[in-house]
Amino acid sequence: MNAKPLSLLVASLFAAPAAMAEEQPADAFRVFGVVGVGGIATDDNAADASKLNEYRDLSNGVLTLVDVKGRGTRHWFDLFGENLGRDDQYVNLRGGSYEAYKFRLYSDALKHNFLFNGITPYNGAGTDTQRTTFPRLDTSAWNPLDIGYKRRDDGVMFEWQKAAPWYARVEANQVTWSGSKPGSASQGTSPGNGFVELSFPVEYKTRNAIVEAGYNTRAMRFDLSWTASKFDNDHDRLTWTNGYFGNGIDTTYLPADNRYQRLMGNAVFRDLPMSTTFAARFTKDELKSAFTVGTSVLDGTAGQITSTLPNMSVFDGKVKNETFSASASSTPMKALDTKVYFNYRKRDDESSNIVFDAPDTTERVPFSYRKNNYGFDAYYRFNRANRAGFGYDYLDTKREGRDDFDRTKDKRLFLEWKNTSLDELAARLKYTRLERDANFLHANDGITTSDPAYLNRFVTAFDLSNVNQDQWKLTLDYTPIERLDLGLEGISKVNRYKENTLGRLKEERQEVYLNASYSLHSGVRFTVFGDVEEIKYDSQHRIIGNNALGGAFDPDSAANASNYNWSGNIKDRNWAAGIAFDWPAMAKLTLKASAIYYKTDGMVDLSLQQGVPSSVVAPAPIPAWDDSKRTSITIKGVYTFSKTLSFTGGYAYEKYDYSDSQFNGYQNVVAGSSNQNSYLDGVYARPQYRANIVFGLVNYHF
Amino acid sequence: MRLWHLALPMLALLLPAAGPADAEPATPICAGCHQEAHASIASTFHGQKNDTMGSMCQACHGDASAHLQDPAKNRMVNKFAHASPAEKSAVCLTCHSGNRHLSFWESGKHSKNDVACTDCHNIHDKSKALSVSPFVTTSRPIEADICGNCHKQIRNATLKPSHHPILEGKVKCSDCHNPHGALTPMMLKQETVNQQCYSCHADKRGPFVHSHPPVEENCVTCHNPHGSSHEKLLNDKAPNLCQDCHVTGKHPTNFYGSGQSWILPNGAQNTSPNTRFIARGCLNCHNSIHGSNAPSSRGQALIR
Repeated sequence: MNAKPLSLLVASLFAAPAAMAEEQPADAFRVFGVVGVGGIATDDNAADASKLNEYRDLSNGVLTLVDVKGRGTRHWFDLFGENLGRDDQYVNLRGGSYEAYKFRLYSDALKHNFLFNGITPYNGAGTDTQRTTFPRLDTSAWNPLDIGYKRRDDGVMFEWQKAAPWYARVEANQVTWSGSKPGSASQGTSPGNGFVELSFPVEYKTRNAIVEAGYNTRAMRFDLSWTASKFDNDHDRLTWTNGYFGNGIDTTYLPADNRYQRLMGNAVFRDLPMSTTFAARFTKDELKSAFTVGTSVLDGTAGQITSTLPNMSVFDGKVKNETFSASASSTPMKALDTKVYFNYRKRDDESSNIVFDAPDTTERVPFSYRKNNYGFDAYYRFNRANRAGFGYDYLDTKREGRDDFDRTKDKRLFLEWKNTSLDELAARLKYTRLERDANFLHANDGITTSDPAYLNRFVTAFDLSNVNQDQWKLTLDYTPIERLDLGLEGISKVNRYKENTLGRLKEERQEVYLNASYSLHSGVRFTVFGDVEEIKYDSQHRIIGNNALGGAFDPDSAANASNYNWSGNIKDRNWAAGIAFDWPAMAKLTLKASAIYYKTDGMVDLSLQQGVPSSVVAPAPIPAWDDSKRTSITIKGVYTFSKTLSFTGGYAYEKYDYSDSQFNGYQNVVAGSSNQNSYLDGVYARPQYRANIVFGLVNYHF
Repeated sequence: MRLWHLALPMLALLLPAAGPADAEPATPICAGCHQEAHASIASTFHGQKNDTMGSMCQACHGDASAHLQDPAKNRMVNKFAHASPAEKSAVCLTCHSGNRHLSFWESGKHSKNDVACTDCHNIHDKSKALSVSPFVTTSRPIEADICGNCHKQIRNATLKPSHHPILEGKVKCSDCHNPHGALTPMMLKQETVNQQCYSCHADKRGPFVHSHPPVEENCVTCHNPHGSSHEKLLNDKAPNLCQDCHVTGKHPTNFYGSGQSWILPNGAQNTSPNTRFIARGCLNCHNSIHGSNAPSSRGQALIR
């Protein structure tokens, strides 16, 4: 950010009250706040510090803080800025005149880092033209590579309130992304042909604008708004050297520009009979993206090009959505609260029906759906201490464009009991049951178990297949003595894909969270928490090595050396514990500290169907599946020299360990025959770090 | 930074040079005894609207006429101490029910679940809640610390290795959810989950020449927006996540275990690790997982 506008801004803030003092004897518009300047220094031992700096700018440098407020009986403003000139800079100016108008200007930046100190065989990495000559097995000659992008969101809002109850509001913002992000591509059309890791160029710009006008009173509200959003990508294609296809130039297609517009209307009516509030909303939107399609593909180990023979040169993408929602919340009788609601969502994919006739015939399949959802909630308070809740929700979805399921019906019911019979204890227990019935389109495919189509009967994607879900949630809040708060939250969720044979069969999640907070009369505050979570996924799959054997396509058939099922049991366990305290150690000194330990431990058990002969090599389990340990310790002190001067300083220590079977023993080249080498750049491979961070700010209060 | 060229004119709007000056904010009579309470709101919007009779104090705490006549004998009842959540909220809604962001308060989950305005807002106490957090470079209060008082496990999820920059101060709970009520399930601000995600991730909107229908219907089929132990906020990793749907044979249905990784179970370096397992698994080749504009089978298979 250019510092000049900011300095003028701050100067004008101080000048304004002075100017007013000249005009009015009693200047009531007060400006007060704090400005601070200091620095940060970080020492780390990471081979790749991108994880340490994933969303934070910890680079050595200057820290700044501006927090200035202006208050009068008619006007006000808040100006906040921090980390000026750094990758995570934030500036926010809000203000207005009470009951007349309000506004906001902001600029929020972050850097998302993926890789530091990587290497790549390509020249021009991070651009839309990446070239080299393969094979390049000597990694010492590769080019250095960092991957990451800067994201900045600049926006403005203005709302006119002087004509209340009528109002008008405009918002606009621009989000720019600049840099690169991790990507990859297969080299041939078979998984054995190797792959390359690439750094995709990211030069995005999204401009959004919202115009809204409405009428707003206690009893009634309605508004109409129009939203327009334009996404532009400076690079809709990336060309790169494909070593398997004879060092020919291949093309990866990046997100194309798109345009989105939406009309929305809302209405709320309060104070209806039975204390009813009726609320409704409709939206109608359209998304468009026009794209000049590729007319050829790289398609041979000698660098041959094959035409794709599209039936049109420009793909006109168009998707329309319509939604309507309504709810009526009522108190039909004393102690009874109810809500009935309806949601309708329609998606129509009206994009071009594009067909490619070479190298093979592929046709775009549009995806559309209709969703009708309705339900009710009811809560009855038996007495001051006990309240019961009950609800039912029904969702009917019809789809076009999925060849496996065309309709699903989700029925969900919940029961809840809340008790506050003890002043010190509040408890809530909730049970939710979901049952999904799906219309499976391949239930009768194939004639015999030797027919390849027979297998389709058992291929049921978990996102839409029949499922029963049971979920329990318990929360307890207990204050046994004054200033001591204890909390517990427990959840158990089990999804049973009751009719699945292949794919996901079951998933479970259990988590318990405990916390305690205590404060002393002296002002010392403690809080401590602990959390344990376990997530499990069970699935079954089938290997068909010999189509000719009987029962090849029937998972219920006996196993043999060629055709058999295998099971996967994934388990993720997470533990977290932390403590924080806040201590006014002396009249002028406050100390704060926080320590967290977070551990993730994943594993995958793999097993074969009973009866598989010993000649089949059994799969080896995966012991490390995103295993990590993060220790964070932060100690901060605030020393107040005087009413106008204070110092904030501190130290932070972080350690991150990581182990994963997909990355342990990582190498940048996987050699293959006939130019089927794979080339990797190091992204996500070495995120481990240990860091010491020192920071301090001198703050001037006025 | 062109937007910042608007900043000075915007600030000029605040200068009352062209109109009546801001009057001296009144010190309410209540401050005579309740100095601390008055000081806590004097600089706030509530304090600026106060008058010498303490109208703003009475708007929330009730009529103080009798109390002013004999403070010791006619003590004020603390309306917020033993009131029900609905009664507490009713105090605030007396003035604020016409606020734009409270339009759907009655339709939202919070009002139905005994959440009062005072559970999240406290106009008298602006001290930051004590929270357990890693080092961050922002000094702004983190919204998730307030929401996490009730939504403890969600707050815990923001500490996971893969997370939105919530604790870093770049994403707030209210960027996706409207805590004051909304018609969309989960009180999302947009009308569907996908529209909510696209509001920041516009590059995923499409429409693409070749699409991936589960992606177009519901992002949370594969992702957990609050936090995950797996990269990219995925509920599970490739190849497992992909294989839970893609079970029709060929290489998607092969098992991929540590026998295919860089290091064999016996600790030796694997001279031929399986490219379908190492690094990002399926995504090594099928990188365009959200949709592809590539032609023919290159796009249909999401490999370009």
